Amino acid sequence: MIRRWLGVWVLAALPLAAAHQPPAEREKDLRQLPPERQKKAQERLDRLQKMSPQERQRLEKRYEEFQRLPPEEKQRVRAAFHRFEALPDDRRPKVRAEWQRLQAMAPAERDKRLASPAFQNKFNPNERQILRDLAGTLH
Amino acid sequence: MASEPQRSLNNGVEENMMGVLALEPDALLMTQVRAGDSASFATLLNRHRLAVTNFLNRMVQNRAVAEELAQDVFLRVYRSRGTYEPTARFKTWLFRIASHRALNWLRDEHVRQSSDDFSDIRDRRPNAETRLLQEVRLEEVRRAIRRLPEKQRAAVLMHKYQEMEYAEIAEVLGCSESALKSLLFRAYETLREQLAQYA
Amino acid sequence: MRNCPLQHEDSASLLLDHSAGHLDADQSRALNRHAETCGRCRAFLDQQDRLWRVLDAWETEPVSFDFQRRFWLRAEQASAIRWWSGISWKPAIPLAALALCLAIGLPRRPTPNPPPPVDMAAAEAAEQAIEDLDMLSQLQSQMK
Repeated sequence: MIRRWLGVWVLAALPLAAAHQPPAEREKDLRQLPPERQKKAQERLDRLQKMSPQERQRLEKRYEEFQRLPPEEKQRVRAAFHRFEALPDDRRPKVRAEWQRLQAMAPAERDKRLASPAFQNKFNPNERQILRDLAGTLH
Repeated sequence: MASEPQRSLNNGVEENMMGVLALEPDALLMTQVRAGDSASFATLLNRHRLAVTNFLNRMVQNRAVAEELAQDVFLRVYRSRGTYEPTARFKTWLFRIASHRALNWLRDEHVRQSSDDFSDIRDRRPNAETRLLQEVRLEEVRRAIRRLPEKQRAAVLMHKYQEMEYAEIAEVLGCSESALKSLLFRAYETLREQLAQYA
Repeated sequence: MRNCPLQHEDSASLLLDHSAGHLDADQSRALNRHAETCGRCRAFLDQQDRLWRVLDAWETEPVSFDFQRRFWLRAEQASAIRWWSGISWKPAIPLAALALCLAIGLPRRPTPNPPPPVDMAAAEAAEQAIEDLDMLSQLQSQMK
């Protein structure tokens, strides 16, 4: 069951097609989901609720940018994120570090890095694809 | 009106500068900062703060100090925006300032004299799940890096963790590429010996 | 490869580059062939590979979330001090912009409207939006 008062700001911030719904109405929407999916949504909301106001502000801005992407690009980012989560424990930090490095580069430099032998040798094909798909997102 | 040879010379200099700028988006941003665009500086800050802070953290091995020093570095860059000239890659310039800042701090703090007492300067992250062997290995890595002479330390950190090119690191440290390669060779040789049992 | 790279410090950096994966395919192949018959180079490469793995244990950490806010405060203070010291230097950051940086964002409040009928599509859209927010927040925290 979705608890009450589970992060009003999160529900208020969701720019759904049926926008301008009060949070209570969105809670009702989520209760239509099967219990397992309600539970997962609840866990996510609990995590989001812990954010500081500054992190919240940054996230809202990122979400706006994300929403402006074409549907297939959004899907590509989602898929890349899931593949990143599925990486072995010892590989995730390396891929994360490389992503941070790529995010800090200007686009031309990033492309050069993605095409470099160093990059090819350091990561396997799955990891390289994850990094390509996530590179350039979230500035 | 400039004569033909003078116009050629001027055009040549301008082309050279434009050549630098065309290759270097960060230098271009910095010239915009020079023209009064502080949003461009916010972009540069966002782009480089993690790399600079992590480099400084590995140099001085104190997270709080590293962030203060990183702030100093960016403040120094920001203050000099009025006279900025793109004579080098922006990142090279940035890391040159960061290296000098770190080396000055290390000399002032005499950290190397207390290199065996790492408990005071070890990061205290509130990490509940510390695996003992990995923690020991990590501490040995920090200790080994800390024991390197400062210039070797800076060279290794830029080479290994920032993946900077030899030419760039040499420019940051103010030495020839050949001297840098020697420096790195000796540094890695020391690290191989000290960390062999943890590999 | 006729000469052993380890004979000179200058060429020894080739071995470092090779073990770091920075050489192109042809150079790598040449060095690998040499290392097959040169015990010194083989030992160097093995030890260096192990060293890279050990050094990899030292991972990056996030920067404080208020790093940029503190920076702009310091920049503003520095400019104020210079102005008060009589140095003619206009702060480049409008104070309004600085105030904006410091302001805590408030969540948007939607205008109340009559609620539409509840259906599965709306539930799934809400679910997807929460999933996307969660994904972006995790990516955001990875970037710090």
